[in-house]
Amino acid sequence: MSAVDEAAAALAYATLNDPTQPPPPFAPERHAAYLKRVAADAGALEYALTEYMRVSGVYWGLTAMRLLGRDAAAELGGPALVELARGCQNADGGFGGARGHDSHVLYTLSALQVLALLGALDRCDRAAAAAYVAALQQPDGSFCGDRWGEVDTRFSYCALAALALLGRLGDADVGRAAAFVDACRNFDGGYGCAPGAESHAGQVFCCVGALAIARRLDLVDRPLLCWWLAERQCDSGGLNGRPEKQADVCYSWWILSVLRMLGADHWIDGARLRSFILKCQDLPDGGIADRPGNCPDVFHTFFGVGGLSLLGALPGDRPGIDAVFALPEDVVESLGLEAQTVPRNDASLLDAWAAERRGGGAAIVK
Amino acid sequence: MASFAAAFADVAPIEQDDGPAPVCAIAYAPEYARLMGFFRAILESNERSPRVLELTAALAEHNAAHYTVWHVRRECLWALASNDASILTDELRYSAEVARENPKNYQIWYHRRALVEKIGQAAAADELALISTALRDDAKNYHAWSNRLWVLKTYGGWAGELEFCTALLDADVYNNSAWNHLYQVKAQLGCDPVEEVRSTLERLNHARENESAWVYALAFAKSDERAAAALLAHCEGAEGVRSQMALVELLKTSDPGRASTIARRLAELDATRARYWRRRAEGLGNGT
Repeated sequence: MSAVDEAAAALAYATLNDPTQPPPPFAPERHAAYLKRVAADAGALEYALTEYMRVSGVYWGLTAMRLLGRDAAAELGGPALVELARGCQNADGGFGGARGHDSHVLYTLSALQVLALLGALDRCDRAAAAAYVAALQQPDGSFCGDRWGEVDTRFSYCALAALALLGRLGDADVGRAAAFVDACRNFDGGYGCAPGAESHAGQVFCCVGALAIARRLDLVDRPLLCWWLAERQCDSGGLNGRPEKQADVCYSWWILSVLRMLGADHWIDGARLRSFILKCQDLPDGGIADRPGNCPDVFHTFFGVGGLSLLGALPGDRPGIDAVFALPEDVVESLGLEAQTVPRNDASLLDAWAAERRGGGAAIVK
Repeated sequence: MASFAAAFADVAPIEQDDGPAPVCAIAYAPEYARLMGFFRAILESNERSPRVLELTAALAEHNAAHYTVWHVRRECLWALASNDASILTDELRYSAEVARENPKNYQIWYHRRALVEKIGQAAAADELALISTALRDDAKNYHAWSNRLWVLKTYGGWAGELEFCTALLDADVYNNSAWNHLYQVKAQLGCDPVEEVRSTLERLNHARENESAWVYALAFAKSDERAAAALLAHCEGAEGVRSQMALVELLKTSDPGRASTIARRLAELDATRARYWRRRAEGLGNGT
């Protein structure tokens, strides 16, 4: 019996939700095996039902594999995945969730992230993709998700991140994009999907991420937002997305990444968050669930591994994750992607940015 | 299924194709797979007809999250409605049923929004009623709330919202969605910040550590000096951890030294956020 199996056997279900109980060990081999199994299991019902977001699933799986220190392209079938992502590009330049599906900015970003991870961005029609994304921008700076015209701050992030990946950020009106995101800032310091909509940690990631790419973090109310984000940590150590909601592993990523962008990721209790994520592992079979004892999926496996990566809790020599672009740091570096972030404990830098904006000076580069 | 096979007898189904990746045969949900075969063929042929409308309903029953199915459904509806507008009112009834069965589904709420937009003002009251029903089952449903805000901003109807929020907060004073909505309603209808602080404190009497209520009261205290004075007077000598957190916010400019001392004490009282409070204490101490 391996150490992981012993830990799994010793782990009484009832103690999983007890924060005083120590967590099981991290089982990277199991998670890698789980990701390979999911990628190969095209016969499963889940696979058929999630066809419409296939390319996002590929992005989550590939990134998690890379963060686990594995040769993701070799183990998950890089050339086939490049073809899968390319096959999602439509005549309008955008990408659908799978071949033959309508273009949407969500899947356009996922497809470009997959191509970036596999070093194959030049295998798609980059100019057409950039034109598709830029054309989704509205006069108020917001972005529609697709030709149907729905507006959401998630799409602001997807659009700016996609254009940055394509090296065509200038194709959008970045200033207006930031102004729209700022119009979605609430009285609690957080952000919602539209002006006045309730703050939600997932939307906060999209909004602050968009502002980081737009180099407008000076618009964030840092003390207020960081307080609200720190309040999201529950007694279990896990993070929730809104007040009085249950903790969920996905917020380990959405919240910790924002705190990292704002130089405040050490303001919450990292050890207890790590413990919560470890308790969400499916130890016999691999994969990470939304909360302890639940079934794992690729989405939460990515967010759990991403959270552990931001916590510096992944042992050995493996790439870290970039908090803004949600890609391994080496990929971000090789593409020369840049965004604004606040160094730890340097709130004065934000004040300097804000003052510079007021004075109309040149933008400070990170 | 047999009826679809007959209705689409002239259509050659297209199987799922993820490119040259090794794809096994679909082993489960054979009916869904067969319907999807027709649907992929429709995506190629661009047919928009009553039989495609029925096909999308059958597919949505299997998988309400499939966004392209809903796209094609709307295109059918828009195309068919030019001859028969009643098809849109039928769709209001049908989609309300789907929304009731799949309240957390993103696509159905967006479908509702597109439909209401197509019909216009006449559908607004219906939509608010449907949302109210959805919020009775799940008072924090994010899609339902954002649709509600959209209806109000687009077609009006704010006057009834105060009563709506009050009822939800009476049912659950910790409902953050309701506090946020109340704030939007007050911003729209206008209010006295002092009265907002007073009524919020009344609710806090029975729920002292209610994060949402404190953040709400602080928002009005930040916008109005009299409201700030009223909240400060309450917090001085009040029991509980959140009244101390509010003091840090209220005193951070006028008395940063005292705010810093309180933040340092909070690092003991609020162990989960001890690092946050220590950082606040340092910052208030040295003016950053």
